[in-house]
Amino acid sequence: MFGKIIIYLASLFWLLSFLFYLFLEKSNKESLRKYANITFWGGVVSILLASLYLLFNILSHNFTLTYVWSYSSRNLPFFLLLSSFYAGQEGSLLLWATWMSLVGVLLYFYIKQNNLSTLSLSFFAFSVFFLTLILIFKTPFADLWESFPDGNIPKDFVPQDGRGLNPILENYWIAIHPPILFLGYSFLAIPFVLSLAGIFQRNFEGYSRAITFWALIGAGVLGLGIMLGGFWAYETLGWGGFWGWDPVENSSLVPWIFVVVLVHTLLLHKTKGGFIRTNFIFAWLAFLGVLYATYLTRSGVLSDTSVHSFVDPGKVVNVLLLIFLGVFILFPIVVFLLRFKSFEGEKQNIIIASRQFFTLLGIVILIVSSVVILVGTSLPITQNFIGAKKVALEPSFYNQWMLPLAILILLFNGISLYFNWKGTDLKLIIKSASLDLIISVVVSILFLFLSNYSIAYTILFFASFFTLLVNLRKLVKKLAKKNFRIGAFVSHLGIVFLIVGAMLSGGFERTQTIHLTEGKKSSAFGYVFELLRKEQIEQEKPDREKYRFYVRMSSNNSNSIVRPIVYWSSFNNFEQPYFEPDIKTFLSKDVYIAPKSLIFNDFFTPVTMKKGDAVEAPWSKGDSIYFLSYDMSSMHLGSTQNNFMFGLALRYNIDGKIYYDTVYSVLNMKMNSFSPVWKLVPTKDFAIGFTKFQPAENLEQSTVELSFGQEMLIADVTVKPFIILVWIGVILTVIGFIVAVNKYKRIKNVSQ
Amino acid sequence: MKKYIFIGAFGLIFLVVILLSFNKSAIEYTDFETARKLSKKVQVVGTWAKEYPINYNTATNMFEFFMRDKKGKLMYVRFNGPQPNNFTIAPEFVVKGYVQDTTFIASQIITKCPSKYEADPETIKK
Repeated sequence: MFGKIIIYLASLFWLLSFLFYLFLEKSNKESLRKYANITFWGGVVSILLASLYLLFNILSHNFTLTYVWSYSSRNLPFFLLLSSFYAGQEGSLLLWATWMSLVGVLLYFYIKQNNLSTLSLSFFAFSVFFLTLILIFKTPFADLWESFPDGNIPKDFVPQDGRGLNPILENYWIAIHPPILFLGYSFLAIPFVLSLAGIFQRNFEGYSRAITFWALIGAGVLGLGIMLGGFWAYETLGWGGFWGWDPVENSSLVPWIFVVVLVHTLLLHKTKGGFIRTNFIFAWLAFLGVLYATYLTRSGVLSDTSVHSFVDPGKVVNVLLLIFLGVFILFPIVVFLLRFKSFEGEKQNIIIASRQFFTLLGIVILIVSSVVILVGTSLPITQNFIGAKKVALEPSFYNQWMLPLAILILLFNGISLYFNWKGTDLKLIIKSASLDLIISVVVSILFLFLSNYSIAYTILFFASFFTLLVNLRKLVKKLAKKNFRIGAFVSHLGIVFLIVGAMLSGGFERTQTIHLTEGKKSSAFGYVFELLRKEQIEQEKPDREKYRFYVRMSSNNSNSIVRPIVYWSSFNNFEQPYFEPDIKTFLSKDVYIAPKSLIFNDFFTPVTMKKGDAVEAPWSKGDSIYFLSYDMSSMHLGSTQNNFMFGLALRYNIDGKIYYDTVYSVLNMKMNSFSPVWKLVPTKDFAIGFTKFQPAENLEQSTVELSFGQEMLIADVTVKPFIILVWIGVILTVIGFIVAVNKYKRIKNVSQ
Repeated sequence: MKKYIFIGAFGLIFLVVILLSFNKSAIEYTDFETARKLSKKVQVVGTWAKEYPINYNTATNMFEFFMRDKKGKLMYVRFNGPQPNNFTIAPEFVVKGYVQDTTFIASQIITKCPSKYEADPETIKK
């Protein structure tokens, strides 16, 4: 109850704060300021309280709350318990609202310090208000009996334990990636509300430095958040790469591109004036991009076409998300139209041989790429809308587009640096430019041979190398003069590395399959792989059975151990294993070992028996297997309604010793499928599986088949050349943003 | 005004180019019968026909099985790779590929897992 009330309260506070700040602006009644500030802080405090309350419920295992029951359990370690806060839709919305509140506090003090109008706080409060509105309908504070009205759940019912976190999320990355991503999303609200205020007050000039400051922070944090997600997918999820053009990835990339465009249009404004409407539009689009991403990933419209799992949040929330989106499309348009004439730009004379011109070209390419990604990602919605036949886009669609766009953007960046902002005589640059060009052409010809005559990649390599040279030279020159305004060069170098790394690791990767089983060797790419042993890890946790495979990977000049992981979890009742890859990193490449499948290849002939039968063990004449009885006691443990655990109680006589064990198979009533849960035969290194059930009139006459197999881990070995450049590139890009932010810490000459 | 007409026209042409470029990368969802006629890369949703044997050849890294599409048409599917992890428990899956003679050559198998995300009141009380 408390949680819900506090959300209602937060919603009310943010609404009032929005109205107070707005009327304060309109009427200039200073008395309103007090109320506006109080309601603003009221909104912040109540959102923080709601978060703390949810956290308290998670940490105290209050499983009467549907949310807590759905995403956490008693055995989760502390940091995962914290992370289960945002493992579901409701909690991640609350996390977003929490970040918005905290970011709002930063904005509040920033505005005070720099004497900006509080009008932007009004718009800010308006956006948080919408978030709280969704939280009212999609609340993390619903009780179980409310969530399942048909389940006949008593009001005071407390489940023993929660369902727990999906085991593939049980990794420290879940504590890092989502919060940074949502923080980035939250930061993007600030350039938007500041530029709204600037336009509204016909004083964009006064806001532009402030907008730049927050746009740079937003671009840095969001960029970092996105790439950490990529690294997570690569390093532990075993998705093979760091980027797959998945709708979820795309929809977070689009707002990032928009905010990067904003950073550049602000720069154009700074150097030559003008571009005010353009700036406003991109500050708006960046924020709108965040809302659109939220809509795409939370409305369930993409559930068929993404690797991320989505749950349809229900009609009310869907409509609410659409209203949210609609309001923030219409409202800025109204403000824009009201003020359109005030910012009629003076005629701009753009000289072609200027940095401004080439920056403009670069911006156009960024916009083109964002439109390509948007159209591709929105395809399922458009198809739905016009009732067209459902098609799915392959990643090749994006790759085809991005290759030429990347070439252009690199060249424009490189060329732009030869010129001054307002134009440079071409004669002055010919000498340095021709030197750069000659070096780049020579190196690219070398690349052409090495890359097996791939023309397209060679052109991309040429553009990258050329831009690298120009940026490096600029960077060195600046540093030599003890000028540390180098953010742009560092970021652009980062982008060069990122693009080259993506091209080399993606375009030149090769995959082969290896089979790992004890006593046999398997080879790929000149490496010999040999399974040495496996070790059970995390044995103290009863909800999992986790093995680390030790695989020797040797070649002529290297010898190392890789350790992929295979585990079963109670999350799906140990029915199918989960995998984690391992990566052997070299300077020039990564060797990526991703388990794909764990099978049991036939070892001995299967045996067929009835209840009460005893048969000779196929591995040794002296040993025997006795089928004692059926075990139905675990029937209900299946992971879904239609799955049942069907067991056979066995007695082994091995080397004169008696062992008892039960082997299970998962029976799916709906599909009538039967999949054995393989178990090692006592003292042996092969496993037994309950592979078939032949029903008769009664159980006594029914027959079962027991198979014997040796475990075989099938893994894909992928060589990814120079993927390290991707990570270096991301780090440089982010550092560049941080360096650049420094320049805008204080804003000067704000005329109020 | 001229400027806006120019920008608008440019934008329109650009959109058309994007839509045209879908052709190569867009893969239709269809059934086996149409796939046979089309003889280009498509994707088919269906279920595993488990009354027929499955086979994984470790030497060739080929996984073979039979599958039924939504219309009930049976098809022999060959996939260059190991048996997907949750193959036997997936209620449904999507294969991407093309039909060659009587075989569907799959380049990708996407299994849809029985998700635990859909909460079910029956499971609460255990």
